[in-house]
Amino acid sequence: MYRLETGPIDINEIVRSVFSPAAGGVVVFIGTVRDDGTDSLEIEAYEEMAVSELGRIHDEAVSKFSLNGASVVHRTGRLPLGEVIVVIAASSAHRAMAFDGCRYIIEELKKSVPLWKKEYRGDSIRWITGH
Amino acid sequence: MKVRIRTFATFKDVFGDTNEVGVGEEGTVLDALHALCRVKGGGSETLFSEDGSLLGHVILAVNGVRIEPSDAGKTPLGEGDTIAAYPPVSGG
Repeated sequence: MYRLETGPIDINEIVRSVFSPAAGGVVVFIGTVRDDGTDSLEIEAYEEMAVSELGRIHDEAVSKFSLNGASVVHRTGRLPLGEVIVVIAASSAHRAMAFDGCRYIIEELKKSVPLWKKEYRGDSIRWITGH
Repeated sequence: MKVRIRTFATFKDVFGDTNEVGVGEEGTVLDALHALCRVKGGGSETLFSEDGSLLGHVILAVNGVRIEPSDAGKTPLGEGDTIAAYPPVSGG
């Protein structure tokens, strides 16, 4: 499963989606809005391309790490402090591949999926762009 | 021919969400980006260095497929194509 979500992410749904009788473990990464002086974030997406990039990364991870299941769901829109930004779940026969697969998905997402954070901090608003 | 150019994040603040520009029959992605700056009456410093080459952080896609910025001057366009131009991503 891979998609963008405009409302709160149902973490349980994402975790459950990768359960499999063949799996011996499930690894989950949850990214949240950190309080570093920020009041809230807004996440913008180039939606069509973001979804296709999520799909590419999902498929690569499943193949590269022999995952039984993988899901990645990312929020868009305005998010308050502590809100869930992204949930990634990966299952595999043994834990090492699930950890590696989950890590691969978040690292690749941060490199290439067209999503941007706009930070609201007091009276200032600024885009956070990657490197 | 007419092509659409979509921009995002900091680039959208400069150019707006979506613009339509005209380029010649042999027009390339690079031609379309120059046309965008002409249509908007500015913004070239967002995309181009002083020598007219694309800035290193500009990411480009045509119809949802990434292209190398170094190929922008040799990537041909078709009527109705959509170019996306955006800064480095920051999701996750």
